[in-house]
Amino acid sequence: MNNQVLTYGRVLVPLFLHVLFFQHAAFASGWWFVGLHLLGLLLMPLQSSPLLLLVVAAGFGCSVDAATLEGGLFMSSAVLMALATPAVNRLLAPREGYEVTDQPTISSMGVQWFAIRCLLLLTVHHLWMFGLEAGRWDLIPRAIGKALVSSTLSTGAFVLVLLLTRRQRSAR
Amino acid sequence: MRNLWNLLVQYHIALVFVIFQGIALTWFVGSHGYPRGKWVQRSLEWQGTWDQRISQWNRLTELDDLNRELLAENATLRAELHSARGDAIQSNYQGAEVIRSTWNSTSNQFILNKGTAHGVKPGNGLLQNNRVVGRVVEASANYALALPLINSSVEWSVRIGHSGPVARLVWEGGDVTRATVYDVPRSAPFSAGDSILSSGFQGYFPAGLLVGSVADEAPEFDGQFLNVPITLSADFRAMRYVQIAAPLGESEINGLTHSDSQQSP
Repeated sequence: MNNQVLTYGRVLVPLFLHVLFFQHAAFASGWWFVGLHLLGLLLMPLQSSPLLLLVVAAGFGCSVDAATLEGGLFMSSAVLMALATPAVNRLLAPREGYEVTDQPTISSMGVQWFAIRCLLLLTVHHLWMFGLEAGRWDLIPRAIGKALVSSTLSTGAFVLVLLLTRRQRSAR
Repeated sequence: MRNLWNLLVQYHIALVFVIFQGIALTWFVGSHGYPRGKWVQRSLEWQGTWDQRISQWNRLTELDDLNRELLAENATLRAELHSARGDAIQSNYQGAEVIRSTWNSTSNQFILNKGTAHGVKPGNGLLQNNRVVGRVVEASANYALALPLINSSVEWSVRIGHSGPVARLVWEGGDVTRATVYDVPRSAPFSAGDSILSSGFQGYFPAGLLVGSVADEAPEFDGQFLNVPITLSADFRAMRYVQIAAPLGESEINGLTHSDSQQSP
């Protein structure tokens, strides 16, 4: 029961934080977009069905779109990321496959596994999002640059967040 | 029929993905750059209330109150100035606070803490210290959504100098201090540093308000016309207070254009 609450909390808290406080968190003149809600999607259990991932991603994206008046931009990107998630999970699976108790966190799978998965999925999300948002072919190179910079920096930030929260938990 | 069902079951993930993408992209194409409608009004009201609270927590109250008073006074003085000058388009002005703004995407937007309850309507212009900033596109009871000059989906009517030709201003994304004025006749005399002013033709602002100045760069040739790079006057990254211009006689002008379109064959 406690584990379930923890899982739902891990997924939902980043969404609430994003919608309430960080919805326009962008740094370096817009080159670093912090999509905190994506951390929630990244922390969905590894055993989640692809259908559940798509539905949750659509719900998350829709909520962020409604809050930021972006009209479908985040929903579309989040759904694409959710579609890519099972493939990326398979790509990064250990030789003997995932254990039932494995969670997509640093404490369960290690920093390297989490960082690579995070980078791959965020790159998919950001390439689509910045590409759509650019809206014109001549802005695509800039959009690709923004996507790569944002994915890399966000991966670093998410790793840091998970390391910090892990430390706090073990300190108790 | 059974085969079709089996096919749907087999590819249900792809099907759900296509459905969600279809919904998202239809929503995106239908609203992007120009978000309007009921969902925007509801979201504006909720987000506006929340942003206002956040803004209040961060506020240095004394300085803020002073700013508000100055803003209201500026708005009144500006209205009197335009009235005394006998401008063709007279406007009412009122101050508003920008409670949320974006400047790093191609579809930037502002949310203002004034809405229909304060007389704000879609089509009202936005100014910052007599410089053109943007226009209101949607308003709920207490908040308004505005598109600034730095939104690539909107075009603005401008004039080069006080008596130069009228042309189209478009911001193309990227640098928020730069934009381009299109369709300037090749014969038009201008040089770097010349003012770009509002034409007043769109009805959002009075004519003659500063939009920017001609940049020190060679214009691009486009047939019989030039595309002139300009530097925008307003500082969109530091936008906190604006004046909302509500043109007087708007309904009368709309009535005229409406009756004209009805009579035309």
